[in-house]
Formats: sequence, structure tokens, C-alpha cells
Amino acid sequence: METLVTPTRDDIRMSEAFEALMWALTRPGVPQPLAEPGLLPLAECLVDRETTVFAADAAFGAALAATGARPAPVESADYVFAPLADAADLARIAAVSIGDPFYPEHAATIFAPARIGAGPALRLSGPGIAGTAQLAVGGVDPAFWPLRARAAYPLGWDLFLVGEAEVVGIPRSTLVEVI
Amino acid sequence: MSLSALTAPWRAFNYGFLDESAKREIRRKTLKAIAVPGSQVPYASREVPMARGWGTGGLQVTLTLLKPSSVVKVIDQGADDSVNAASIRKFLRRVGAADETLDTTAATLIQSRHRIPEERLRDDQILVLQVPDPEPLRAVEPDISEARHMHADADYGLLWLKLYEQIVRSGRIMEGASYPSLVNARHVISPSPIPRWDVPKLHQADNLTILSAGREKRIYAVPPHTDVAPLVFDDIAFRVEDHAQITCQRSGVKGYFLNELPQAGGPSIHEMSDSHFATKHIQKREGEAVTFADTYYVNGSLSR
Repeated sequence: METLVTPTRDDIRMSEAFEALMWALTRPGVPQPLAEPGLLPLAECLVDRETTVFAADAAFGAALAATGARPAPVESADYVFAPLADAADLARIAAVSIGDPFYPEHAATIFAPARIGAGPALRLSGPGIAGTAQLAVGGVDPAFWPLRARAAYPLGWDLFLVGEAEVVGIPRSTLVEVI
Repeated sequence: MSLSALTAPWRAFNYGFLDESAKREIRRKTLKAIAVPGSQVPYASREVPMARGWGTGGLQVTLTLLKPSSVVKVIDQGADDSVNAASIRKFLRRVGAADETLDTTAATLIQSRHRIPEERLRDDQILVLQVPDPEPLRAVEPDISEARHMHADADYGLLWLKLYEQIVRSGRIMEGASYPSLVNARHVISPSPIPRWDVPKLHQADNLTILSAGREKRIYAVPPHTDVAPLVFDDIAFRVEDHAQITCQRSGVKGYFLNELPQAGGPSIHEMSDSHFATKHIQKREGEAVTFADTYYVNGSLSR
């Protein structure tokens, strides 16, 4: 008789968290439901001892430590978990790595809390979007978008905006206009 | 932090065969590949129980995306029934408890060697293409460090030169498969050795395509609704294979990509390359209920 390998509960959690991230980045601006709320499952499906992380929130940083990920200063971390709510946040984010021309994938991935569906409207266009898409995001300082646009493609940040129970991806390939 | 705190309890096999750290790495690299369409992202490329060159790159991505609700289709040069395709499909069922299918419309996850199905893929389907040589510049620049410089500079002049020389020598572009294509107006990719017939299917597609080279250790992606333009000169149009008017001997259908089967004495017959698509036409003729999706080509020409 043939034996099939079945997933553990953790396998399913990690696979669901990654799928939300993958579809979020594949369809920028379209909220993807999270099976489990919060940033931690999203981090757990990606980071381990091979990655460096920066967490603005000390308690979250301690939770991340359980994955084995190495804490790093914001300018060299592969994964940055930090809000984009005000000028002080943006001053910190400005230092985050945008990658280098030979290895654009070395750019950091930013996870930021946000209110999806409430706040200033954005118009998105680029790969993954048929024509243009609209997205309302609260909790992100509008000055973030010009700061993000300073990086010349293919360099730049890949951004995940994480709401209560949903995540929105904005890869660096997306053109964001504040409307 | 001790190592034992980072490991899971022992199991004979991890779900999806790959261990969790391998999966996390492929997840990280896949996300970066989606974020920069067409950019080749290096990854570690673990051992899988299959020799390099038989689809190990595609297999690792498929194993990472696998879940028990997946319905997997595996294509080998259009066919579902080759030993390679059947073995990969069986392996995916055993290590992923996933369902198998031959029908493109029923699949959620399609791993393919060298073909894109004739039926249009939907936005909830993922196509994983196996790639032998991911570097479109390899033929014109064998030094991979130098090729990296050229990608950084978007310096694809030598590729244009290669195509120009083919026209000068042979009167037409001689690239049969792996036709170099510009993705999102920035990165030139090798779309894996799919025929020219399949290249336009990538342009503004509804589905996500992930390309992975196991031996060469690179992942790259073409997200949905992304421009994919084969490199062509303004005055010499891109041409797909002249298969539009040839009839498939097996199904009697015409207007799709074919395999040429040489016969004793010199002549040849043609059979549809997308084997299950031909089978569905036969089943329909015999009165069975089959579902067809729209096709990329209608009456032998591309439909948009």
C-alpha cells in the first residue's frame, strides 16, 4: 500500500502564510486574506538563521528571535518590520537597503502595519495589474511614496502592508501615485 | 538558542520532501523573483531524488508550493504520459498528498518542461517551467560575472547582434526555442526552451509563471499582466512555427503546435504536442463530456 506524506499543522500554517504573500506580490494592491492574523506567521514562513531582521518593536523582535533570524541594524537587514506612520519612521526607513545593480534581490523586504481600505487613495500600475488598481491605505505617511520612488528600478523596496486580517503587496515594480 | 529549539520532531519525510529551511529559501527567492520580473535570482538548489537536468529546478518550486488541495499536472514536451512526467506526478502525489490530473482546466499547479498548454491558464493557476539554461546571454557572453554586469546595465546589444547575424547568414532568425524576450521592458529572459509558438502566451497572461533552473540554481518569474516582448527588429516580424494549417493525425484537429513524426521512406506525419488537449478532442468526438477552456490560438492565429 502506498503511504502519502501529509502536512503537519505547522506545514499548513506556513504554506498559507506564504501563499498570502505570494499572491499579494503577484497582484499588487489586491488585499489577500490572512488565515492567521498578525505579522509573526508571515515572518516565520520566510526568515531563519540565514537571514537578518530588524524589528522596530522590541517585543516583536524577541518573538522573531525564536526563528533564529539574526538581528541587524535597519540599514543592513534583509527583512524590516517597522511602521511607516510618521516622519520619525520615515527617517529610519530611508536607510533601508534598496539592493545593488548586480544583485537587485539583495534589497530589503519591508513589512509595515497599515489600515487597508481606509485612508488616502493610491493608484497602482505595473506588472501584476491589468491597467490600474486603486487602493486606500491608512497609517502610512504620504511622504513615504516619494521616498520609495527615489530608488531607480530594478532597485527598491518590496513592501507588504499588513492589516487586521489581510495583507497587500507592493513590489518595487509597481508605480504608485497618490491621488 | 540551541539547534534543537529550531528543529521539528523527527519524521521519516518532511511534507513536500524538501526540508523547511530549503522551502523558506525558495519562498524568499520566489518573492524577489516576482518583485523584479525577469531578473534571475540565485538560490541554493537542493538535491532531489532525480538527476540534474530532469526538472529538478521546477520540482523544487512545485514542492514548495504544494499543498494537499493542489491538483497537479506535469507536462514533458507537451505530453503527460512520458516516464519523466508520470514519475514527477507520482512523486508529487506521494510526498504532497496532492491530486493528479492530465486536464489543464482542472489543474491548480502545472509543472512543465518546454511547453505552455494550448488552453488559456486562469489567474488562479500557477505555471512552473523547468529551465535548463536560464541565461539568455550565455551564447554571447560565457563569463557569468560579465553577463551579470550586462543585465545590470540592460546591455543586450550582443543579443541583437546575434539575431542580426542569423538574418544575414540564413535569411531568417534561427532561434527555434528559448527565444530571448524582454520582460517588463527591463530584463531579457530565456523563456526556457518553449517553442516560439508559446512565447506570446506569456505576454499579459492571466497566470503567474515561475521559471526555475535546478542545475544553474536560478529562479525567475513572469507575473500576470506583464509585458513579454520577443526581441525583434522593426522590419522583421516575430514568426511562430508554421503549424496553423497542418492537421493532427491523432485527433483530426488543426491550428495548434505539433510534433513531427518522421515515417519510413521519408514522409512525416504530425501529432498535437499538447497530448491531453488532443485526447479531449477525441473524447468529445466519442460523445464523452469534456470541458475546454478558451485557447490562446484560434484557427491557428493568436487571439487576444
